[in-house]
Amino acid sequence: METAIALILISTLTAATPVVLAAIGGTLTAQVNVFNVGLEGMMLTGAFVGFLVSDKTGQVTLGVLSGGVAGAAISWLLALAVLSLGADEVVAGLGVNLGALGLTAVLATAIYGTQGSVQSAHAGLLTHLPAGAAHLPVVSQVVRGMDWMTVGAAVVIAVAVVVTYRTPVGLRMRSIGSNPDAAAAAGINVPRYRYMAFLVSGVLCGVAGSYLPLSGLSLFTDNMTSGVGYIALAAVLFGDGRPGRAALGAYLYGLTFAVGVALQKVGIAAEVVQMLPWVATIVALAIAVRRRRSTAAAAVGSAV
Amino acid sequence: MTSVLPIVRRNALSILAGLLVCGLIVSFVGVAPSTLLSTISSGTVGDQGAVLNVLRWSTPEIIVGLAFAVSQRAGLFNLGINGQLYLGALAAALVGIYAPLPPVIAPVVAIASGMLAGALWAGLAGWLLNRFGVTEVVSTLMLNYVGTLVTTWLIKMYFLQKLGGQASYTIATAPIRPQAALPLFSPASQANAGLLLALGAAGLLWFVTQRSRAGYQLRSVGASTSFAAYDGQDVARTRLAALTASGAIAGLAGAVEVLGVQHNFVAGFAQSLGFDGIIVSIIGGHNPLGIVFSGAFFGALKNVGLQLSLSGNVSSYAVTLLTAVFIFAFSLRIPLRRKAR
Repeated sequence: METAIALILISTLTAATPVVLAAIGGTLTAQVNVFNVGLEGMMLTGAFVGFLVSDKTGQVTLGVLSGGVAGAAISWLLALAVLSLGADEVVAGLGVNLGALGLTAVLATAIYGTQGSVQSAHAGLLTHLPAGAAHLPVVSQVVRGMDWMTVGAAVVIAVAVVVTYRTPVGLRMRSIGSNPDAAAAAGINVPRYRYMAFLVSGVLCGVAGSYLPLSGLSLFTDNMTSGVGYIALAAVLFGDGRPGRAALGAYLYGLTFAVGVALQKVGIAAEVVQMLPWVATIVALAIAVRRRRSTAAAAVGSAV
Repeated sequence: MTSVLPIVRRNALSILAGLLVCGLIVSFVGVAPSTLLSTISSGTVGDQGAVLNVLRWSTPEIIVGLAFAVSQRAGLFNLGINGQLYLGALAAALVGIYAPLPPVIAPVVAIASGMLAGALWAGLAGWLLNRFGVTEVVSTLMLNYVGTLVTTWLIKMYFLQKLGGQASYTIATAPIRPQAALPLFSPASQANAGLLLALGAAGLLWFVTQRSRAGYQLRSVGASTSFAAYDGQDVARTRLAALTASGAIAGLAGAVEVLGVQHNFVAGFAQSLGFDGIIVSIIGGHNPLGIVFSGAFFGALKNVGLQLSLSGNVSSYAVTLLTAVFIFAFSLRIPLRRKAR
């Protein structure tokens, strides 16, 4: 029983970590009033570049960092299109997502000479935490199952919360979000903050993507993210600009995923299990958005 | 009548830029320019078979383009065409396999079922939008995954093809009855009567969007929801209708692929076909007649891309990359009528 709980917790954290990182990234762009649909493409690019660099150098950390840089590059491209060239944010974001899907698959085939998936013998894996707290039964197992990126995700949440609510930068970003024109009139350089938000979200998404091939199997497959970026996008909407809530959404996804894996072991069809997180995300989003709308309506009502 | 020529002229530069980037990418992964050129000519106008193959691919490209255009008219993004297409394809396949109907009637009923399935799936996103305020951009994207998984699961559970008493290795249904198939133009290619349906749908939609009251409502809700509401229109109903109609057309695309080309349902057969609808619609200026031309252009592009991936060391996702390059190039030029929040 203890082992089962520990396994579910580990599986929750592992599934949630990339979603948490990407959702925090998306939350930053949401704070400056940009709907960043490109999370999925930035993650997939980060996954491929992270895998490629780790495979060629044998350095996992270098792979993760390169994934972040690649994500930032894609993000900059999207920011340029949306912020400076007047592109529609949804259409351009979708272009980035499909482009990343096509480009990573084409490059993987061109570089490794096989279609579908590539296994690496040299890439290595993220380091796990040392076995501490051995006297606590479930906790020790969970800690041993965690790698440093699951901890890193928690640090990123904390930093994002502090920056959002306790720093001038966060205040300015939120003021851009609530009224860009007023923020500009108050002397805030709105485009600069928007570019910055895009770049940071690109780094976070790229790092998040690199977690996928480097956490479990040293494997890259075509379309490896397979929609995880859209789950992160839903978590961004769930959080509505608040990093803590977005992270909560991401961990709820992780929990659904973990429960699904457990259910699959007792013989429930794989497709039904894979469906669970999507359905749960849609339901959670419906509840969150509806409640927000009704509180907003109540606020307007009391003002009148 | 809205002329198609200005749309072509306005977009010529984006198309050229897109083609150039595609050529660079393809040569970067090691395809010689001469191979590329010969594949382009053999994949488009090389012989009668090539022309027919372009028509074969133009058919679904036109239909998914129309599907996106209908939602776009109402200012909505139906990004779930892929999922709706899968459900439509499965519904049409099941009618084609199990309903003992005579010729002509059989494909009509199968297509109607496919359109109904697609409409219901898209209607779910419309309901989420109206009832809960969940943006269709995210809900339709997510329903893609659910829809694909539902079809795969249903087939594995109930409809798996049996070959000599053994379940087959690919996840696919049994073939449809020949009475339900759409007739081919020639045995040389899979081009089929679905093309006529695509052209008919384009004509019908042109009339509805440009000349009817429903088209006016779509456009006014798309231009400004607050204006439409002030005008006394039922915005929620128009949005639901737009998404449902969009889903029905997506279902038509799936039905035509099954009844005209595949003749059974193979799990995952469409790859990212539904997403092509976005770019086909944009290049066609969201105009049903323009979409016929942009759909044909993409049909040709797809045929060339497929030949490239068959001929050598090029991933089958090359076509997805080409689509994306065009989506990105065109997003820079044409701001869609979606209100800033």
